[in-house]
Amino acid sequence: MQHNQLTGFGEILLFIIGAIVFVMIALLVARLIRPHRPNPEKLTTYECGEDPTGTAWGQFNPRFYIIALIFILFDVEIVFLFPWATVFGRQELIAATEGLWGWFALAEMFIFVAILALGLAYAWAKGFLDWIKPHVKKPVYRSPIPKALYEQVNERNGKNKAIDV
Amino acid sequence: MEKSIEVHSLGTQLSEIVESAFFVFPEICLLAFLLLILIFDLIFRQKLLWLFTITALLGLFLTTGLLLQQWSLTAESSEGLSLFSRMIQLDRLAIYFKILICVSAVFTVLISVNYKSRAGSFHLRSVKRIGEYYTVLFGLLLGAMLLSMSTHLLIIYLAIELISISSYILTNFNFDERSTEASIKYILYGGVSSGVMLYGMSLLYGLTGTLDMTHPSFQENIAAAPMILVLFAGLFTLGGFLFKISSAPFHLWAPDVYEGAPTPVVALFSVVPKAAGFVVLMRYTAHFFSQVSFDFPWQTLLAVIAIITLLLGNFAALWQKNVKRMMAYSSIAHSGFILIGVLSTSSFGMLSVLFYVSVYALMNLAAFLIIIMISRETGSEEISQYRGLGEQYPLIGVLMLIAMISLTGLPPTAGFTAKLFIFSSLWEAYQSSDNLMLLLLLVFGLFNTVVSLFYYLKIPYFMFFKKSETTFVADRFSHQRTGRRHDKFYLFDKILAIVLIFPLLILFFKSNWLIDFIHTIPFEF
Repeated sequence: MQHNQLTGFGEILLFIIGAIVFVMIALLVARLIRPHRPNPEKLTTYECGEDPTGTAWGQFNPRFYIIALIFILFDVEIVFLFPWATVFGRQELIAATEGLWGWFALAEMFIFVAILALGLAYAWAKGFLDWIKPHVKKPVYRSPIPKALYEQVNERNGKNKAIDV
Repeated sequence: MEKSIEVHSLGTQLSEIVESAFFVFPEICLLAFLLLILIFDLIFRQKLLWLFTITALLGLFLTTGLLLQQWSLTAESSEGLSLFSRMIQLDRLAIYFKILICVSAVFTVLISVNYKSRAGSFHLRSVKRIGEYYTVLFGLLLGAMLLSMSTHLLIIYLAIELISISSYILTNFNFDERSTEASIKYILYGGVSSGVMLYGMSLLYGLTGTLDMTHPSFQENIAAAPMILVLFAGLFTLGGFLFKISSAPFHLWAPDVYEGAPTPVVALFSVVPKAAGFVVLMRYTAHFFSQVSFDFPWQTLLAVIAIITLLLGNFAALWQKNVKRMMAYSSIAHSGFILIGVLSTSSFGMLSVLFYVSVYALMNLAAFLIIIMISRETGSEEISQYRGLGEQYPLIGVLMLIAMISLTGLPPTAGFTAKLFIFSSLWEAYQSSDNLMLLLLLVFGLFNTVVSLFYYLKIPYFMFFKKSETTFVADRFSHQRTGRRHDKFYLFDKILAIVLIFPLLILFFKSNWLIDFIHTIPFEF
């Protein structure tokens, strides 16, 4: 009876094909329009700014973890919002419960989003979102001996024994 | 067709949830204050520190008020309400423990007001994390309150995790090396034991097809299931509860955590999670062990656990030189004593458990308060530093003496009454079952009470009979140099200690005041 319709697995196959085609097109277009000027740095494997070769036991900057945790905040939100959206507005559920379902689902999701928003506000207000750039400090050495004194010494000793400042 | 049934039951389910929500007002109130403190923390940052303490106390008082109202609304004979499609059960037993938890929390907040950690990194008057402290504290309380109501394995697990995760964070609030080490150890032990418990629960679900312990099919299927599986599932699940009450095979975390964590937090740990753990253990034994069809000697099993807990706790405490470590082993030993009441299963046994836990909460909070006061004076928690303190500060010495006598279980303190009830309930259980193990437990229990005498009374002995020597003199000179006032005990702390110690004496002479209160709880699960 349902020969003309796709089964559930068919839909998944379509998604797989679509995903592959989409990536291929993107790569192809990029290939056509980008300038081709490779250097060793560009040709290394992309590893989020880390060195791709070597031991994996190196120390990572803890800021990566904080960013990852905050990302999860939004990730979880989306994961729950999608299935929620498919049942929230179902006519027969709302009709069967005399509208209670709609209010209930809406209130639940508002509470959920509010908790996540509070979490984000907390991370923000506490300054966990500030990406502190490392402050490179050049060593400054102020010699108590004036530079003219060195020059005097250099002149006295001749050219072969010059002291660098 | 199936779909229409599903849709139909949805309406009743939703209205049940809405109706149930009215019965968890105390928890909602606690949650609201948790969020309020969190928002305050964001708005006021490090200003207005007193506001946080006031808000926390206000929240706890409001919650306690709502709980008292709940108590007066529930009838004495009723079995309790099953809420949220049998997820939690609200009965007088749960309300009693919730009140106990809230009152202990009030005292914990009051104790922590003047607490200062050794490195000064945790001091509520200046700490910048005060908002976080109260937020996590409230999270722990919420978990404990949920746990004392839960009859559904899923909620039990959630509540235990809520308590555990809050505890891990609170352990680290000294922000020094010790405290971090304790926290990591706690996480490791906690993770393993909750994994074991979860495995047991999954087996129980596989055997019965339900997670609701009160469900008839749970009990029927447990009775019909193969013995070895039920045994494994039951014991694994039991492991998680034993961890929360820090009982024998799962007690290893206690000494390190007690030593490393801030002392007010330790006072809380020794009371609140333990009380909640005992409620759930009582429910579990009533619903699970008594339903097992084959002749499983679970009473003997719990008796063995109690004996090991008593022996380990008391004998390890004998060797301790640090007061907080000693109190950790003492709390393990007390778990053994309370387990005796749980395994008696009679309503008298339950009564003695409730009485013991209430008295235990008072004595422990008092003991830890005095430990905090003394450690501020001497800058150390070693027992050897207690030399001669009793002569210098008679009031503190006497209060400590009463707390220690009560912890030992000697008259004229409520600790004696509590132990008397526990042992009489055990004697009753022995007479009705003729289980020799129970007699052995009785003998061991009495023997251990004598053992505990040595380490508890060591502290008053040091305070009153040993003369203060080298270290303390040096300390006194430094006081004179800096021109500080000598007596550093706050009046507030002194009053608080008296408030905590006084009921211990009252409840010895008038124990029926509390007993009458507990008697109105119907012990039908």
